[in-house]
Amino acid sequence: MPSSGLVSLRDVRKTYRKGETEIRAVDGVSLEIGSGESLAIVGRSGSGKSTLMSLIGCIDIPTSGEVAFRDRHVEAMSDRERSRLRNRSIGFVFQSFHLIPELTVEKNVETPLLYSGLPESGWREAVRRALASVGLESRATHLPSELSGGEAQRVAIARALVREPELVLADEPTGNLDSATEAEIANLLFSLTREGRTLVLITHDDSLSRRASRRVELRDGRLVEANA
Amino acid sequence: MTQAGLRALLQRAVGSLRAHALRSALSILGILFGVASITAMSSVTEGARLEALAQIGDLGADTLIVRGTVGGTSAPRPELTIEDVDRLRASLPGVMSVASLRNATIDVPGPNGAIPATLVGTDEAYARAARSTLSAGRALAPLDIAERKRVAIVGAEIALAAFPGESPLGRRIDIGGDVFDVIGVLEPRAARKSSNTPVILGRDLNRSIIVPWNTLPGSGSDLAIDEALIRLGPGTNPRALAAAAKRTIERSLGKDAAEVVVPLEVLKQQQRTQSVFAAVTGATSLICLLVGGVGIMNILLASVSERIREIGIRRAVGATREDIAAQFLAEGALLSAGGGVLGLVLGGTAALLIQTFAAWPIAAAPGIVFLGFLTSIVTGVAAGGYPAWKAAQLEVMDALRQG
Repeated sequence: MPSSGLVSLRDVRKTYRKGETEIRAVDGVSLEIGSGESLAIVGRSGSGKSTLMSLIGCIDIPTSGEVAFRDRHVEAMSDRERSRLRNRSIGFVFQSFHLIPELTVEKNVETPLLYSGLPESGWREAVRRALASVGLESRATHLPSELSGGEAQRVAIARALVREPELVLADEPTGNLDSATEAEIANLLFSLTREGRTLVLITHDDSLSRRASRRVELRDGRLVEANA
Repeated sequence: MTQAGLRALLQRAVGSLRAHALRSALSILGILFGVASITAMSSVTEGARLEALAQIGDLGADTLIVRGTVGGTSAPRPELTIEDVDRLRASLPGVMSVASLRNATIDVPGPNGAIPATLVGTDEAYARAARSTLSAGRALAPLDIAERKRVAIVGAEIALAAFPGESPLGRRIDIGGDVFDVIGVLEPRAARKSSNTPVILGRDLNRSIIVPWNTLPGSGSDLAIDEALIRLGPGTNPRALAAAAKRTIERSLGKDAAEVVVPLEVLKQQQRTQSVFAAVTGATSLICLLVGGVGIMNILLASVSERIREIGIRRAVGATREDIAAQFLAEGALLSAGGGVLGLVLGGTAALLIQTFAAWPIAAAPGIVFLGFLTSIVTGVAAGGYPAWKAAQLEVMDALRQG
């Protein structure tokens, strides 16, 4: 595997058992994700995008094949090691924001720090910086229910950035937003690559995927190179 | 886990419990009542135990009490008399002192109204038999009995109430219409905690007035007495001497004419009864705690299914399975600890109310209370175990999709 790559998937399969039938959600995918690039993974629903995302995001391990993050074999890691890796190196942005409704904006952004092992004294500043980078410092003490969709997604992006990860993984980040807000969130996400972060977008939105430096398409669990 | 991590964990647990305050409050009721009943029960039994120990200390474990049995439905029985006391003195080896007693309760007039008192009619042997000591004056002398002198030795509380601010010695006191000279004052005894403990064993010397037995009207003939108080010498066997005393009385008065009370045995019997009571209450409390634990488990299970998405989010941003499990365990422990603390307060209050209104003595039994509290926390953690395990086993993507 080339060491310049951030994430590398080699002949990765993920199968689920559903009663007697075996579902091949991801079926022999090989993919290199380079440091600092923006990659769009497109595909219809049911094509295995979410499963692929959980493999790239080190949430899950493949049934067979290899997944390496910075040349470290993810499939050999324990749950604890993968949790640490996610915490330190990967930021997630979801379609439905996935903020914890009982917590204020700043507490939501702080969540990854709880599991970081970093001293508490630096948390406040890290949260403030992350909120500043999405322009939402003024909303720090609000609850998610008091935010607009665009604001909620910006809070989610702040949460993804609070640990300053190498990889930001966004699953349909604009799926629940109106078109004006959509552009704003897209700008915010693509600006991350200018800071040297890697962006992986999972989407079926053409306008979003076309802005990525590279685009791949998933069909029935298999990868098809799709040129922009 | 670091201290900061633990604090954060507890803060999170508090936060999520507060989000469902009513539900959390209801779920701790079982633990609350379990700990409350353990606390109240142990306070009462501990109080009774200390009271019993105090009584035995008052009277001495080396004491016997011989009482004439109260005539039942059958023909009047021969009564215990002063002659029987002489027989006891002669026939029992190793006896230090035998005092004859007539008892009565009266009110004596005082400057601030009537003073309830226990009147003890006895003889010169009493001081030794009952271990009473004087703070002033003198004890009963043989001549007082022989001449039926109206002299009295008053208990410390009586002295204080009847003659406030002055020495009672040489003063006169009205006992049932007769005037007695006060010749002595008893040394104060450690106060009893309750006033209505049945006086099987001792009497409250602080509230007693001691007079020659033959100055009191007896319940029968001139020679009749209510009981004989026997103090045994060192190294004697109370049970064997109790049997001997019973035989002596029965030889002169007939079978079953007297009962011999061995205070040590009475106390042991009381303690056996109490330990049965304690065991039953203890078992009930444990069932309460168990039910409480089930209640907490229920709440936490509901909480896990409600918060599946939150669990998924936390896992995605880096929480390990252990982190998630720890969170639910912490909530279980907090719920049960909360229930435990409130239970301690409720149990303590109940014990104080029992003391106030039922006049039972109470005392804190820190060991048992601590054990009950510990049990409640263990219950909570155990009850949190299954929900915590269930939460930790959730697959992240499944959990996120459930939202």
